[in-house]
Amino acid sequence: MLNKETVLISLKLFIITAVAALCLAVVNKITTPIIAENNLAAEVKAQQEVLPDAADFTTVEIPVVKSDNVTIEKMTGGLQAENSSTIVGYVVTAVSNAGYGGDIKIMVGIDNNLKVTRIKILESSETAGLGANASKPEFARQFEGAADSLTVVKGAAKSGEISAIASATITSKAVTSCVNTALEAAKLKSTDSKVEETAQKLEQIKQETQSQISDGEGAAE
Amino acid sequence: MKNVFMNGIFKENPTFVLFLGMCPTLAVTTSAFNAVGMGLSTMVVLVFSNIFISLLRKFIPDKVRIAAYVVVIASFVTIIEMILKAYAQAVSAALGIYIPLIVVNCIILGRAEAFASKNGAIRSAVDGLGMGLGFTLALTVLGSIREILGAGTFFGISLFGEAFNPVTIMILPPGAFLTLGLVVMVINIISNKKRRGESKIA
Amino acid sequence: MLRDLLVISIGAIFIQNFVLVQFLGICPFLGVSKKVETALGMGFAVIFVMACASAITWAVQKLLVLFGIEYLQTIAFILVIAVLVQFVEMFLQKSVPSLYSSLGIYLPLITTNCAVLGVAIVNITKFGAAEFSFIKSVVYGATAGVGFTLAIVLFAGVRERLESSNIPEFLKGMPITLITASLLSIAFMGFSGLSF
Repeated sequence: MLNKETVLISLKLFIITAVAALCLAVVNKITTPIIAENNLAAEVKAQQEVLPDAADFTTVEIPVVKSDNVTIEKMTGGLQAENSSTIVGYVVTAVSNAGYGGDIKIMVGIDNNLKVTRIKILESSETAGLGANASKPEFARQFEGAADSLTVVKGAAKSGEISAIASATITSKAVTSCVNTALEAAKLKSTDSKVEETAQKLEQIKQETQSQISDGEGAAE
Repeated sequence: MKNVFMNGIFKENPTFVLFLGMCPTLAVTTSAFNAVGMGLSTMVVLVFSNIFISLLRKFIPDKVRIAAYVVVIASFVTIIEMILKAYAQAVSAALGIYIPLIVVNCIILGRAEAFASKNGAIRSAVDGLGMGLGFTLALTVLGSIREILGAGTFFGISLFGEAFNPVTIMILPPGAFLTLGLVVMVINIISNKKRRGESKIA
Repeated sequence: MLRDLLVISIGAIFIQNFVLVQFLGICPFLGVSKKVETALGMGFAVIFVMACASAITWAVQKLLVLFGIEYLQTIAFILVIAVLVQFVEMFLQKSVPSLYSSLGIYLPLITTNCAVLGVAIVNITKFGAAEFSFIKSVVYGATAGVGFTLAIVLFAGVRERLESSNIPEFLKGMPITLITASLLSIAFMGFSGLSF
């Protein structure tokens, strides 16, 4: 069955494919580290944009927050300086599946006073010209300084309210619920870390007293 | 040589005359920036695949030529994809899935089959350049019209200020079909007039 | 699970219609839509190939990940699709000749239908990490094909009518076809925002 021609054709096709795969492997090798670096730099830049006070970021454990359609994808603590352990706020990346065109991914910066510093829309497939306007400053800046759970209203907003984008109430609601969940998470986290701090202090005091006691015992002997 | 080059831009414009590669034409022309990015990416792939297919035209067995062309084209598309991701993230993020889909853009396979497999490397490169430029030009025209009307901007620069209420539908899917339809209509009117003029002289 | 699949199906057929919203598969949409009958034939061929392609590219992607060569994705997928189309053609020719003779001419065209490569890539980005990614991919592939068929058959119906109507000279051919497609696309926009 296998005649000479078939073998030759297969061989030639194989050579072409092999050379192509080799070229791709080389280009891939060159570009992979650059792409990874770019992605990392872009992430740090985005985090810095929403939490300008922080110089470096460290991933923190995500607290359990109940929400119908928002999941928190990532949470980082903003550090005062590189290698510092003083946290100046949190950056929460939250995804809502209740957008008009599917998922909306948002990054929310929250400072230590539990107020929103800035929000940034990372990914969305909202309708161009309508829901996609959520990334415009007129809408996004409304969230700055917000501390409590926000509600969406049509038209002018009072404090604690967000004025919806015209003809895109669903998008506005999805973004707002992301911000609300992020605020909740940051609140939990900061009380958590306070509890932790207190626990650590207690432990320290305990150890100190214990050593004092044992010192005292030693002296008594 | 000059004819080969100009052919792709006007007489056999891939978009407006041959109606090839319609998917990216409609999908990514929501802004002039996207249109230029897509056009140039396609042009680079087209030029390189044309050159290589032309050089390999004696080596590639006739029976499996389409498979061989597809491998060559897909390699260049992947290379472009990786390079864009590494050095031009904005373009790569804006075009997304439509970059790997350059592989199935009928213009590229079409030129490989119709031109590069029969001509020398330099002529094929020029043909790729002409066709690629024609494609880029067409995309830019569509992208500009849609961006100006649909968002009130041109390459991201606001043109009309706050008072302008953009015709949002132009950057939505229906606007893509409508814009292309109307542009082709205008071209039809012009070429009909020209033809009538020529026949009068004759 | 069933609810998930229903959401995927409705999304693929109506909300994110491959042709009218995502602009995948435009070439056959404009090229093979002059008659309802041929449009239907093309549609069924596409549904079949897209479901098969979703299943096979799922396995291919697993292999690529296993060997750490994801960068060969585009090449691997397009070759798999080309081979698949060839096999489907040979299989139908031998075992179901009646179906082959009605689909025959459309099958080779499907290789360059960007909807097929599109669905393979979308599957990876959409369900790559999800549970039951195999079933979801196949369902998405098949229903995206149904969406394609729905669009092309509706469009062919309108074009059949256009044939016999009086159209201004400068709109004849492509312009009126594209404007019709635009109106159809507006109709499909009505589905967007549909949620459960």
